[in-house]
Amino acid sequence: METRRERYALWITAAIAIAAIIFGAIQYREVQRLRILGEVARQRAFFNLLSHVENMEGNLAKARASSTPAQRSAFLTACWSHSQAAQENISVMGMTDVDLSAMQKFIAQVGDFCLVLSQKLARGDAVTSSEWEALSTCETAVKDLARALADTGASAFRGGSSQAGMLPFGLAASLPSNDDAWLRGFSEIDSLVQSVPSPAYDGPFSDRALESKPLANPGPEISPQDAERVALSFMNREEHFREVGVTTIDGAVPAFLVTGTRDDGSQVSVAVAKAGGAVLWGMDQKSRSTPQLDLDAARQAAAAFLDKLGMDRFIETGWRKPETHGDRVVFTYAGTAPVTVDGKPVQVVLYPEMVKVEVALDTGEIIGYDAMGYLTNAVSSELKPPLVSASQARAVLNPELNQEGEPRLTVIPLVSGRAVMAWEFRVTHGGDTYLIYINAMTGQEEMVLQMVIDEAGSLTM
Amino acid sequence: MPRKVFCLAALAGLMMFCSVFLSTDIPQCWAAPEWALAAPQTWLDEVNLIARLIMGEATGEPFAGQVGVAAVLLNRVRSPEFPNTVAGVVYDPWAFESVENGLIWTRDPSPENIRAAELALNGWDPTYGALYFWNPSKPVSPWIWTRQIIVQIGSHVFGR
Repeated sequence: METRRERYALWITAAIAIAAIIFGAIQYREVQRLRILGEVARQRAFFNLLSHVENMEGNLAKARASSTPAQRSAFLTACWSHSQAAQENISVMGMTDVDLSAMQKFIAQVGDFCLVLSQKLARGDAVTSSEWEALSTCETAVKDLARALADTGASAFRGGSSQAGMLPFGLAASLPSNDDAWLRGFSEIDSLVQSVPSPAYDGPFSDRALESKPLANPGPEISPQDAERVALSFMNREEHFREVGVTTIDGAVPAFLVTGTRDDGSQVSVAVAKAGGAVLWGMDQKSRSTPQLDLDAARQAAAAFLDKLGMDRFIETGWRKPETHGDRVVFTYAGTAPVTVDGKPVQVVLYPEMVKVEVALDTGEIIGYDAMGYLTNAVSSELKPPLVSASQARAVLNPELNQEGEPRLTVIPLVSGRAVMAWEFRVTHGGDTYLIYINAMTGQEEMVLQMVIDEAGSLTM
Repeated sequence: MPRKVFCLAALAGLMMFCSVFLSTDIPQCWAAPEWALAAPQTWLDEVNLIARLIMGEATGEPFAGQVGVAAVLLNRVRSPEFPNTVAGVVYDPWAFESVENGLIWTRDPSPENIRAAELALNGWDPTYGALYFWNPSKPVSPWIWTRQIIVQIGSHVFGR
């Protein structure tokens, strides 16, 4: 009896062991298959990256050798296009133990620089000798990068590939590349690209554009107690906060972060600039109930709020309701300032001096405020009368466009971070609405924005 | 005989352990569901993707901290050191723990997560340009402490 029970136990245990072995083998094979798929994707991204960097090098060389602005512009645009594709491939390589951000930044800035020069040539402007010199430095660096990438790829497969093989039952033994060679190669590339100086130019990825702006008009330093007083007054709620805390925000605009916590745990956060005590931004976490107010009532609440802050020179430039939860609306405002045109004062819309106000549609309370754009840009003090009239600017427009209303004088922020004065034309074409900006000093077309207008408000892109 | 049974049972247990261990070692960035890899084309898609990341990274954090996480994502899109699309940044391999461990697909974002995403898309940035955030009470790479710290909101430190 005892023996039979033991025999059954033995058979059952053996069956479990065999099942576990089979299950383990299947799992192991699946893991290896996924690892190899991952490695294949990484290698594909790597070789695509190498190919795009080599193409960047070729196009840079051709741009320098070319004799006509049109050809140069075409080669520089092609270089930018390859830099975009190269960045895409870097981001999917999935290297865990090596930092690729310096290489990513280098490739992005070279591409960006090429695009800026290409646009300059397309406008008929001359590329300066210092810009050609900077481009030549970029070309040499891209050439070095291409060689370093090729060497890294060659080292990664040397030795690694000989280890690859298959075990019985389709079990792959190892991955067909050498991780140490990848790490060594990319570490060398990191040092290489970090030694190349960034080109000085006006583009969205230039070092200058990436710097965070400080306050335009800083005032005297305030204490944390002052900040708490300013924030509580700004919150303007006749309600009790269980706790009020003050911490600091460092960086380009040092500030105090004042946080009021209600009994239900929801918080109101307000950032107050250390230099001068201006409210930078605020947000209220409290959840909202069913909307009671329409858009006009919310608009009045937002305007009254700005009036109370003494910001009556701001005009509404747009609004947006969330598409998913229509219980609030965000209004955007821009500052205005007068400038004399033909002996008459004209209000200029200052888009960089942007303020945003979020209104709850249940009570009309202000639940969000952001004045960082306004407080870090002081374009109103730099206004000069336009050199190009509205009618001269209109002459630049594509004649197929249908103009809506009168043009208005504006100051617009460019992607490079600079601001320029421009005539704004609202036009339609083929059922779509656009905003076209003609530089009020040079008469060149600076920007074209397409407007997406729906029941949730408007967006520009 | 009992010793043989014990040995076989131990072997079976070991095999089970090994198989479970191996099965959890799948590189998860390649095991993501196919629908999640599609690039967002509209504002709504971007809101949802950002809100999903907030849900995965900042659930339980103060509201300003949730907006901060979304702002870091958007600051990365604008930086040359990172991919230049929202999807590119979110799915950047090993960039966010909640994408690496699949947490962002476990449930839908809350209305609060969605509002935080919308505020960030509308330009609110409580971190004023931060590119990184981390929880100092969790094990992190020593490298992250070389970053300039801007602000701590809740349990997250934001820096660039």
